[in-house]
Amino acid sequence: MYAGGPGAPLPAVGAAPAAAPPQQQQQQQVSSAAAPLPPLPPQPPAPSWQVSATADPAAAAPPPPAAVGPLQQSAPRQRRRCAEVCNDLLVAEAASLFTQRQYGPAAPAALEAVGFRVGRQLAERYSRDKARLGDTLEVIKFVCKDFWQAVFRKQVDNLKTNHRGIFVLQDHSFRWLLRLAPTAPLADGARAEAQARAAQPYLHLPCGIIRGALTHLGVNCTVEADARALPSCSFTIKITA
Amino acid sequence: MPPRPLPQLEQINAEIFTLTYGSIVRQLIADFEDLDEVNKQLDQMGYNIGVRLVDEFLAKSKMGRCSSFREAAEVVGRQAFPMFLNVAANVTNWNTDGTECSLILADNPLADFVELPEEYKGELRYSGLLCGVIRGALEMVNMDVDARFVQDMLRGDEVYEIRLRLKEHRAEAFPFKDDD
Repeated sequence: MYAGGPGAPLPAVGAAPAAAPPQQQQQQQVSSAAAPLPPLPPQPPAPSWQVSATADPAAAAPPPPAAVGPLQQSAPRQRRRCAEVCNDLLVAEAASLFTQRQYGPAAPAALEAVGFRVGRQLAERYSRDKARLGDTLEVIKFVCKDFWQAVFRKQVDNLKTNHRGIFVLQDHSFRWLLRLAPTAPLADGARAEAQARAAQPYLHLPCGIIRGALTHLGVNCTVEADARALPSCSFTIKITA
Repeated sequence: MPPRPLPQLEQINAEIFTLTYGSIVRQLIADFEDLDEVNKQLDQMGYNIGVRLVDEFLAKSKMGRCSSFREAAEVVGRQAFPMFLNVAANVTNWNTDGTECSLILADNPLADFVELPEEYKGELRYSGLLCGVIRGALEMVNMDVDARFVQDMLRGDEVYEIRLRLKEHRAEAFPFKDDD
């Protein structure tokens, strides 16, 4: 527990600007920072990985054979884009798949592990051209701004800390939950609880992504999400030793 | 079929999608330890995505009805793939009665950054999700198909080739009963 007691509001940190223009700028910064794919794998694949991930552009996009029309000739070094709905559906299916399958680790753990790997790999890519991130606060700010922008398509709206190892990141319209169907009208308290329950299976993966990114940047922590005020969602980061 | 402009969907950096998929595959391999079962799960996941993705496609592309399997396959390769993944698939190798064809992809976003270890090259259908998606989507427009990879660049082939086989082109049944 932090010093102020459970009810006391955490003081805001000047990390997440609400103004719009910086966001635009930020987006450019982020995309230009990672635009040229490096010739070397940015992440050394651990030998124990089962499907090893490398970022060799030559391996990713070999020259198209003659039989194929001009439509397919994508430039291998260009940053690839895909429709957002693909990822939305994949993430939703993953949540239901791991929730329903009969064996293996429990769904929250499995989804967290899936997200953790993704977060590590993305953090590696997005921080490649950044100056070294010094202390914990700098890492958290990077995640709130650049990383959040790249993954969740906006910046965190509010960052609070108790200066004792707890950070609360609040996103007023968390992109990955925007399509969650609203629950039937209920009394206020019950409705919030029902929403939070409905959102829970879809939050393990983003929590894993955030924890993966932070861990990769040297901040060991646990991440918990709270979606009682959808579409607003807050993530509580507790730094561990 | 006249080419029509593709509707612009909201786009994201594909690596988020690609890496998430890769991570899911790894998790399934670790959990099931049986590549057959992993292939099945990926196909099922694709199927579930396909039945929902077809709505997105029909809503955004404003396509009319496809009169034949031949036309539907062209729409999948020439419009659906570019619309969602920004790659197109060529439709070739038709059999004589027009019930089987191949979708040829030179480029597969799912397989970016991926190298399969030798022990998985034989059995694992890494991109099997795509087959499931096609199967699910076409089933929603009354075409029952089989879809499977017959060539896969991750296993050393020249291209990605998905073989489609039409099993049944169902007539639309009206009126639908509530309990159907």
